[in-house]
Amino acid sequence: MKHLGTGLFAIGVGLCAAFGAQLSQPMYEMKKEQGQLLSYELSTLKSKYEVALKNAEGKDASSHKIPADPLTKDYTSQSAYLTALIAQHDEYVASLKRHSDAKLDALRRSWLDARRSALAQKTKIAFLEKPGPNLRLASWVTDSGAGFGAGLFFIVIGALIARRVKKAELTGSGTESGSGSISAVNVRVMVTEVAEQVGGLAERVKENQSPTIACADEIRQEIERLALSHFQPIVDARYRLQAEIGLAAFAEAFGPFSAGERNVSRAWSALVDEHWPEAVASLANAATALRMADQKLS
Amino acid sequence: MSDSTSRKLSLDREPYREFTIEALLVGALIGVVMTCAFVYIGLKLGFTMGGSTVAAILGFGLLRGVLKKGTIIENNINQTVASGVNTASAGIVFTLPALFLLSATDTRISVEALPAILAAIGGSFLGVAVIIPLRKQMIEFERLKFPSGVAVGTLLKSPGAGIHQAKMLAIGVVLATTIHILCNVKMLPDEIDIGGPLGLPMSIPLVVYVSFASLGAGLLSGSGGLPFVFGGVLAWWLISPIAIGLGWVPSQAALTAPDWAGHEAWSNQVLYGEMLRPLGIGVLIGGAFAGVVASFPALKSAIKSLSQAAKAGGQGGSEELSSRVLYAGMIGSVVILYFAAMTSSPDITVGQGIGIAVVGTIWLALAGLIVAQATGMTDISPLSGMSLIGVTLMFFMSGGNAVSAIILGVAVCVGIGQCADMMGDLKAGHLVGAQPRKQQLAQFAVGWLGVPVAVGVLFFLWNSVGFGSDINPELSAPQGDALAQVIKSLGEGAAPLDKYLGGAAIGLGLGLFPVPGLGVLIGLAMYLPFSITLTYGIGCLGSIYLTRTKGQEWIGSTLVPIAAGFIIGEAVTNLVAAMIMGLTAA
Repeated sequence: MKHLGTGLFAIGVGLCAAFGAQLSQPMYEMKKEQGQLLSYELSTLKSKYEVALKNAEGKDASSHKIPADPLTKDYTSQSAYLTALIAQHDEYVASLKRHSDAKLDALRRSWLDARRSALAQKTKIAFLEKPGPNLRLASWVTDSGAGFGAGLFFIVIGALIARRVKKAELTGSGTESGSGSISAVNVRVMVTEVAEQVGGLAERVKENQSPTIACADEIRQEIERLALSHFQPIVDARYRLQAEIGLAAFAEAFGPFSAGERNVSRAWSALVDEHWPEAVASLANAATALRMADQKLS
Repeated sequence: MSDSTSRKLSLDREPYREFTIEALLVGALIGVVMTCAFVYIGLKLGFTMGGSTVAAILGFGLLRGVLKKGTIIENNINQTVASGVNTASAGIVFTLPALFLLSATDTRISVEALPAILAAIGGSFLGVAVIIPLRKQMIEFERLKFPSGVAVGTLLKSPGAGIHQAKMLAIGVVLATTIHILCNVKMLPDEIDIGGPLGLPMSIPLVVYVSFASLGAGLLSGSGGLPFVFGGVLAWWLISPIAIGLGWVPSQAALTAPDWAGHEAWSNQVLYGEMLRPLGIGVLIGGAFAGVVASFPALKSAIKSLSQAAKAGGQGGSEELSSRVLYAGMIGSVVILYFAAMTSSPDITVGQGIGIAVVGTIWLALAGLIVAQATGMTDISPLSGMSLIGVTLMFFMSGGNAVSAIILGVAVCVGIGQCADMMGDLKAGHLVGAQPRKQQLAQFAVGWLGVPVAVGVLFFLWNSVGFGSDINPELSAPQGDALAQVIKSLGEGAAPLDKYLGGAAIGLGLGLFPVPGLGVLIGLAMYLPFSITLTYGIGCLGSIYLTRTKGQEWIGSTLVPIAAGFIIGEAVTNLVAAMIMGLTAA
């Protein structure tokens, strides 16, 4: 069942994501137009220009000064810029001395014309109108809606199966193996243990009226040991606990547990900073919070 | 027993140093300097960086080294303050430059400082307020990783963590710094293309981004980050070749341009920009919404416990801010956003102003949650995408008013940034035992400070050297430029609604699967270029392998400090680079 749920879910996600990504028809057409303009400009006009230039002047395109690309910020400035460029281009053509070789002269004119066309193409590309949101949505639903809907169906079915299997695993009623973390019953036991141990630590530091660096180091090491032996495993088992007692009850218990954990960390920091009174207060607060967590769980 | 270990500890001491005037002032000073540097680098490169790690290092140096006073917890407050100030730089530099750029070509548009400052401060307060119940949910119940928060926590704890961990941290820092410097000076590539030499087409990318911070985030996330990698694989190794193979992106044959050498690069651009990225944004939104619904009982319980603690005035009340602060923060922000909307343009009606304030507040809360979840799981923030949606919403709410849309977009962007930053700082605080209430009060106290600094730097640069690719290519303001283009295309009615709605439906569906945060992780992976995901994924897989072979204790004592060092090393190198650039420009 677990694999069935995950499998259906994965198929659903794949279908949904693929059909979800598919361009709507108007957008596809717009992109096609853009691609055609780009490819025309880049492949046809550029090569035409390069061949003509090579033939006319014996130079390759890289040696020729080409005006900067036109602005593409807004249509007004773009048009003004383009008009100026074309006027400049026309002036340049007019100023050219007719070449004695008519064929060569024609070639020179052809690359200049090509450049003029290229500039116009660039303007078209920059200001291609994108289809509006409603049109895109309607067209996408028509073209990709069925595949997308099927994918969504698989996602929901797969997820529901997976949830059921997971819940059974976490509460221990399922037949399939669990995640390997400690059981919810053990979480309760561990919270009780950690509340007692932190309570014990709190008593010890409170009673110590002549603490030394060595005492502080010892308590710090005990805190580090508790972090590995109790706090971390309890945190790792939180989903199991959630599944068993419900999210609201889990939150009621895990809030004070986390406050206790944070106060234990605070005691550790205070010990590093050699501030014994703060360590005493923090461990007392931690013990109170952990006892509260223990009560909530029992 | 040696002399040092037998030394007695005093029982009669001044209160443990936490929220002190020194921490506040040092943090504010570091934050202001970082804000100036990050506004500059944001205009130049189009991205900024989190300031918590750098602030923690500088704070240690100043508080402990110079003032001989700082405690671990006090330094946590110091870095919370510094990053709280600095967070405004990203929110402002991603959005406000768009208004300057539009004003350069449209004489009807003018840039006024006051509405922008008001909006950003409103957003900042709301961002911090929203975090109050979310802290319990994300840090205490869900236990999100927040790799940068862990890195800062590791750094703060380093004085007591022992020689071995300090060495590992230093190794991580040195390695990341060295590699990052070599990349910056172009002695090493930013990306390593493995797919090209293997003959893979561009539609199946196999490129590794050279970033030790991403690697470190993956190492700290471990198996929890794997769904993010699956999302990247789904997008780039499944959908991408399918879309190209089935001709969903116009093929060379469809374009009747068989010789067009640039077709492959263009196809990838269409695939990412028009298909995967907007769909990813939709999935992020749907996934986050599903997460809110799924965790509603816990959120409700968190708010209830805050209210009870406030009423009882007991222990919980002293450690948490009351839910009243949340409500007051939200109401205050609605009011500030309303005034910001009304002062942004004379064309805004009262009804539009109210609508903008309410929708802006709701969106900020949801987007803050999304960004906090994404950074909590992966350390990667979809801030620009969420801001984009925010500006789009504001654009429609204001009846197509570009000025109001950007001004309110500033508020949303700053607020979202505050959410993610505050959450990372709270994670670090949880690890060292700081009181959340004091951290949140510190952030409230200074959250406004970075706003006038960042806006002031922007005005100064605009009036002195200018920015934008046409005006000053050295400061091309890429994010602001992109936002200005989006505003223009929105004016032409070109929002990818199909992708946003389709993505949101997928995100909601993913929320049903019993893996927390799945929608956010997969959405984020679709939203990002695959090279970033791949580096992060290498970190996740490395962490899983090392956990199995070396055990949990080794991970805690060795891998965590090394990974934290990776994140810290790259952050420090970036800050130094930003400072050098800023000083060179000055």
